[in-house]
Amino acid sequence: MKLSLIILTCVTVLTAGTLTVGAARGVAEETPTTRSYRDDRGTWEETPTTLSFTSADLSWMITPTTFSYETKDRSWIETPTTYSYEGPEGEWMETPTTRTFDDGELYLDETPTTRTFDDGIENLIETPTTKTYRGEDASFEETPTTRTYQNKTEIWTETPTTNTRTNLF
Amino acid sequence: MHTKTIVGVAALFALGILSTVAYHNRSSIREATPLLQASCTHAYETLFQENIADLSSCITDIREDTLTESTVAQKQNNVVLVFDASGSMAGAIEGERKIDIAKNAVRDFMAQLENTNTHVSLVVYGHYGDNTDAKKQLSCTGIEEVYPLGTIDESRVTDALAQFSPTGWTPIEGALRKAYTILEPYASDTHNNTVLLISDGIETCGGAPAAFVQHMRTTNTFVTANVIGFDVTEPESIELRKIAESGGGDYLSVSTKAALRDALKTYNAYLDSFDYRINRVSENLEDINTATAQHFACVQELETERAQMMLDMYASNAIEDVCVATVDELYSKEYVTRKEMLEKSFTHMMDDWAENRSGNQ
Repeated sequence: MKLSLIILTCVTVLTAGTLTVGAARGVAEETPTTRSYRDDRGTWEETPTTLSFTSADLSWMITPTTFSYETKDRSWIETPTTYSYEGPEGEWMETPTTRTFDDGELYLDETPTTRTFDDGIENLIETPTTKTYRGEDASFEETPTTRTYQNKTEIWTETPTTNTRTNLF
Repeated sequence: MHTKTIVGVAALFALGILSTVAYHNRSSIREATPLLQASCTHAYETLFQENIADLSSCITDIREDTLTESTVAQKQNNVVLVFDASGSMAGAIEGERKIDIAKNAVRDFMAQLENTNTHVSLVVYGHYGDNTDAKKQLSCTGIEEVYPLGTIDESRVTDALAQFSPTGWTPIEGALRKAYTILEPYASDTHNNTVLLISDGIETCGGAPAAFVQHMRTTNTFVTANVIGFDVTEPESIELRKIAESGGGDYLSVSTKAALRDALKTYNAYLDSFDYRINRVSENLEDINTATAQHFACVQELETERAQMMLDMYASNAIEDVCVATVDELYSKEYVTRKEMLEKSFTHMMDDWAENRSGNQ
């Protein structure tokens, strides 16, 4: 009777507590709320709110609101409202109000009120009150009260009451 | 009591033997019998079906569904040139009639648009009747499309420009209404609709052009009005600027032959301007963002599948010990195959996007 009780008690403790198993390739662990396993490929872990994997080449994590993924040359982060990527092709991000891109040659940044564009040859910065453009052949600047246009030979300046044109040579 | 003790000890002993056998079997799976192998394969298939992620849409559809041709790039530019042929255009600048200067500048401007994505129409006003009160009605209603909206044919442009001479009044609102009627069939989601008014004076037929151009931007046609004031006084310039401002466009005031040509060149450059190009880049970026999100949703599905398989196999003992190595081996092959398919699809998607981007710039 006593031995039966001892065995029953042992089984109960093993079920309710932590069970560690020396599996073929690695080590596993399970509790009532978490599970994990690790071997030479990496470590997987599961809790009530996360699932994750970690290794030398890759790591990722899933929660109720995010997913992040990272390798040696790529990463991705996602939330309910944001996407963000970094990789050999460039970096880009999107939120409900912004969109950006940068690959070293082209840069673009957009918000509801501003825009910046730069591809190394042409550049534009636009705000609610100003617009500035620089290009190979011409440049342009606009404010609420003035507008200036310049090409290789001339500059035009306009205000509400004047309109001047200057030859650069 | 004694009997129960013996039974308990025997049970522990049996448990120990079973564990030893199981451990031995796990480490010597390669020697497993065909029956055991079949049983393990079945166990794998059952577990895989419980955890399998559906990747079919990810692998086949990402590129085709999301990286479409740019809709912005497919938009067609429609430009209606509204040309002043009122009596004042008979006046001269630098010894040359303003009407002739304007006609030549317009001819050059239109020639630059040959073989482009821009369709052009030419609407003329002020060329009927004369500048007397008696002929005002005839002149103010004599508004005509002399070159129908379409691609550029230089000889037809020359013929169209030769059809009229400057004689009468200046019905700017009426001419803008005519331009709007021409553009009305072309919705703004597929067309960039623009009016370019070239005038040497302000409205003289009682119209309210600044109010009308505001209306042009409240409809699905969404027309932008740009204005070039040609040899106008300061008060006239202020009035014409109001039209451009109300019409969401630009105003340029010019008073020489060279300036008019430059203004048209500037406007021509505007058609292929940054708004257009940035919108295309932005649209491409939106495409790749959507496609990348779709790809990583699939990656997430696949990695979740793998994690569940591994944890079920090892941490939850869902598989008999003797089958764990077989199930692991079978699933690992499946995982690698599926991962490679996803990565191949992603690489192709990125290549398509890079090609699309470079083609659009």
